[in-house]
Amino acid sequence: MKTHTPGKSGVAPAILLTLVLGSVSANGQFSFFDSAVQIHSFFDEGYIKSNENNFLTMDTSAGSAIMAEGGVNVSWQALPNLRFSAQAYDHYIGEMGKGQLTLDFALVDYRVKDWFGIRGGKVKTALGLWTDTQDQTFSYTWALLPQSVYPVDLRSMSIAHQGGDIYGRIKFGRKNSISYDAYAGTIPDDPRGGYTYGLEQQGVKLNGGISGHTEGMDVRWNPAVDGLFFGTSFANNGRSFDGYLKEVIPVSYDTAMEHVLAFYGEYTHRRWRFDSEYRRTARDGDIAGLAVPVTNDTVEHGWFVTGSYRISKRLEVGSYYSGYDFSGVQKPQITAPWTGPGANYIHDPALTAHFTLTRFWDLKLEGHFMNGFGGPSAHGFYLFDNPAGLKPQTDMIVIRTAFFF
Amino acid sequence: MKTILQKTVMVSLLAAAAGCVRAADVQIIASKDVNVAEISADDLKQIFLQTENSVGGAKVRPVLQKGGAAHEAFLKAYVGKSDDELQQYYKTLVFSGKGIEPKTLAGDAAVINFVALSKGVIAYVSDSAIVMGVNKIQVK
Repeated sequence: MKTHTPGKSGVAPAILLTLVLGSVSANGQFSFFDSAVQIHSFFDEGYIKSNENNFLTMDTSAGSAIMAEGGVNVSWQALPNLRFSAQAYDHYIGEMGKGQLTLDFALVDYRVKDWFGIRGGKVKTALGLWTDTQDQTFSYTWALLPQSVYPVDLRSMSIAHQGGDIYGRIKFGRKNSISYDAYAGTIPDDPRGGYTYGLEQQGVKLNGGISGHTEGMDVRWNPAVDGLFFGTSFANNGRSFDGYLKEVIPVSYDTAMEHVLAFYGEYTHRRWRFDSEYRRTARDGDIAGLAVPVTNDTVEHGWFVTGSYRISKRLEVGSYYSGYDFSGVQKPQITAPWTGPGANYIHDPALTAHFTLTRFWDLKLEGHFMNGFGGPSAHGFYLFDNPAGLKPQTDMIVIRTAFFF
Repeated sequence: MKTILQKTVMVSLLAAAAGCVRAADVQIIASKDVNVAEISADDLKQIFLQTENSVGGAKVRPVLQKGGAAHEAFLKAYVGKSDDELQQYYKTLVFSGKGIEPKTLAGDAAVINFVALSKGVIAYVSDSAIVMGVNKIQVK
């Protein structure tokens, strides 16, 4: 097994990233062809200390602050129903991102009617409660979103697609409405994301990038009850890549089927807010190039329930329970079964205090008491970063602060 | 039992009356080209949340006030979010590529002036403001 010391080499770039993004953190508005152009930015920095297991490719057992991300956004409302938006995004979270600037999205949005609009370009994907807003730590209570459904290391697998959306809001009855967003496109490759990192951990070295596609739909029902909505999402995905196993055996992978199904809901009432989501991902993959073809069929379940209460303008407290489990069947079995205490599941209760320091700055303190470390790759725990093996229990404190303009 | 019932009815009526007073603390105004006489409270909310951008077939964009009593009264009566919550909501639209922050102006006079000189704008001003050159809209 390749051993790896996470995070340490990234200290200087992370600080540089902090300074660069901090210096451009500004907002502004000016006129262009008599219509508004706006510039906004956000930046957040985190620190994680865990008891034994290293998490999110950082050296968290020693305490790590290699956790920074930020973005700069430009939007131009050219006409009342025509808008252009683009966002540059950068993150340095352990071995993820490593400071590489990416185009988060770049789109043109034409809203024909309230019930019908189109978006094209690189568009953030509507999937479940928070896929398209998961980077915006200022918009939610938690320092880390429930990792069962929104794993930080797998962000790039679902955050955006290059293609098009149709969307709209259809009213019916008194105060009832349904919002929809249907999309299709390709999934941008992220060579510095958790998917690639997980493959490398399993001994696969990629020849080129990972190509992928996604088609799906999100439907959200807003009933005539203030603060309440329910939704469901479905996505059909595919991925393929070529590479070498153990650096000598040519191997290729193709998704025969990947279906993601989500159900979710939210209720806010005065100072209370509750969210919940269930997500099932079924994936059948074909591995070719070995002595015999191998099928690798997996099913993942992720779910969470959250509750938060705003005590004052400056302080909100909350808690969530996040659950994840993984099962897989490989025929014929070519890799060692992933077994033992903590394998194939993560149960993660969390407690959070969220301080709103100013209108543009917040701070979060969060405790996690995680049991289990999930599947053979991704969802935060990697053998690369835990060469002595993974322990079943991970207690962890997360501190995160965000600026948004 | 009867006393409790009477008190409950009284409290409910007072609460309803207080709500009416709050809603009447602001006037909804729009550009002259937005040719509608009334709007439902839900449509008004959705326009300011940018989930809708038309009323009566006319395209509209919202304009906010930069704080003040009319702003607070409007948010409480029609949007159901505090100013901080609304600003945060707009940020989530911006950073997910789904919207833009609305124009914000300070005071009734600036808002009335802007609405009068613009096309396709909807806004609110305090109930005491004298509105001229704009279309006043009743909330159903």
